[in-house]
Amino acid sequence: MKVTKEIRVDHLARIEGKAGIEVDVGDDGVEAKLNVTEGARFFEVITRNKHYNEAVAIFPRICSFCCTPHKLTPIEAVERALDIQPSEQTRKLRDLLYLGNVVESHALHLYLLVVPDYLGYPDAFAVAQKDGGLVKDGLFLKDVGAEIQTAIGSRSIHPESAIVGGFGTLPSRRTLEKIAAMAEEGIQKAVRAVDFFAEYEYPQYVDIKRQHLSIKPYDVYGVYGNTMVSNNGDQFPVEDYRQHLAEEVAPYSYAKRGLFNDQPYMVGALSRVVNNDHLLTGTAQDLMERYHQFVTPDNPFANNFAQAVEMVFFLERIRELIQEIGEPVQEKPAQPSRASGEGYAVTEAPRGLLIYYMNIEDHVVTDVDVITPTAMFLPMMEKDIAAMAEGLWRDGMQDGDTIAKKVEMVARAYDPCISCSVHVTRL
Amino acid sequence: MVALGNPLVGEDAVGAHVYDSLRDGAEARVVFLGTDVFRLSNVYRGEERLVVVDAVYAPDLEPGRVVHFQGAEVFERLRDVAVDAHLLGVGEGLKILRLTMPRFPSDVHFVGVSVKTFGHGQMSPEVAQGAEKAVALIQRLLGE
Repeated sequence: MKVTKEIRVDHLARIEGKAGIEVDVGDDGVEAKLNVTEGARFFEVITRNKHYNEAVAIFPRICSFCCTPHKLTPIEAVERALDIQPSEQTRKLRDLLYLGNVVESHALHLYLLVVPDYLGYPDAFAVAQKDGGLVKDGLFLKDVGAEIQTAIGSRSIHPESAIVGGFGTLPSRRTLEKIAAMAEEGIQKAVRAVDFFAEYEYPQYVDIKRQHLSIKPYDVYGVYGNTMVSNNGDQFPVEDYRQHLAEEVAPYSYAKRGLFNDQPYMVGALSRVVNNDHLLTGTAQDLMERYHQFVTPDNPFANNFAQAVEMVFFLERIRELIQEIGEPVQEKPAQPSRASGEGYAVTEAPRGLLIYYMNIEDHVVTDVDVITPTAMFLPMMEKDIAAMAEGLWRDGMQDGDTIAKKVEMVARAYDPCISCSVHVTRL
Repeated sequence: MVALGNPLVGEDAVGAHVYDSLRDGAEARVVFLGTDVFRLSNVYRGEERLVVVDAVYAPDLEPGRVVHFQGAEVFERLRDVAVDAHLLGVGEGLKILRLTMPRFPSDVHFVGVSVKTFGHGQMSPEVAQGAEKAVALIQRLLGE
């Protein structure tokens, strides 16, 4: 292809991790690549030949922000492998811990990373200077999530209280009541976020018919299930994931890239809402009725709106769960029924499906497969980035910087988490 | 004192190392926040003095060099945009928190240890020495 215009974003700002974007506009169309330049992580190898308890302590280090999903999902895989049946209290506390992570992640993404795009500011600091209330709302909601993870998981990053079979330590009723009060206070702030995102129209260039994959929740809208569903009507148990989901590699990226039915697909808040909106209740259901036109399955910018709706629902759900848990009772962790077995688990991390497969022999992990949501949606994201660039180019936009800003917004709408591993301050 | 960093990523472990050295016996509350400066708002309990310690990167600083900024310098010298970083930079994060937290410490210090590598592996001897210097400096600051 003869390239007419090259657009390069060496460092994609305001996402989790390090990646760049390359867009080539040529006579045959537009090609887009997301270059993930962070190195391979090797967690699937590091955890082999380790006792399952040790492996479960290592997996959360994959990501400091998604540490809770990377704790609770492998725990579930171990429990399925060894036929461990945790108590109802444990299941509810895990649900609460997980929802805390989702609320924190969504708040961070929407208020600190995305809102500057919508308001035309360079960063969250500029937003805070102009509209401190908006950023305060975001930091409060982020705090709600962090408090939950600290109270239930023992600390806000890399929670250790959640263990195979149960919990090491439990929160007091007083702590849970404090969290419930914070969640209550957060609901109206989250509603304001939904109202905020409902003020913006989505760019039409990225209206592309797409597949959405999510879990089919056990009962209420949430993060746990063992079956995956798509907006095409497909449905399969997590044990069959290899028959439906493929991962490929690209020479320009360290990240794997997912395909579903041999096609790109989307996962995340929008996919969950598209596939499971009938399970939304309370204020979130009311908001969905009021703003149903903003849940457009074919446009990735609707993911931001869906995250805001989820914050409302999950805050109400957190309040309910705390009521259902009552006074936590110290329990002995449930024990394995066998020493060896295969376990499959799928949950909904903030950014979408998270799959863990583990083979355990005599309590030792011998094989692991982890598929993360960002790996799943990368090809679809590239397709949307190319569509955005092509649309702007066709409409006469020739300024590379402007096109670059728009394609960055597309990437950020997906809320990608490239690796969450490195942190340094630059002088 | 608030320590930042990732103990599993090369020399970005320096903040965690300082935290481990000071967590017991320091004359102040010592907290490790991983890679998220925004969690300061969760752990802040109205203290007057805040000392933040983290790895820093600057091409012209030799590895292990300790830098100390105080007051307005903290907000002027730390670049707003983090490079190779998770989330937002510490400078940007502290500025946002100063604008949005109901109370913010009046006496803010930043102690940085210059690092060069963020891959896998251990801290270099130079950075490990820098961490010890940072511990000594922070002990003085916390004891004043």
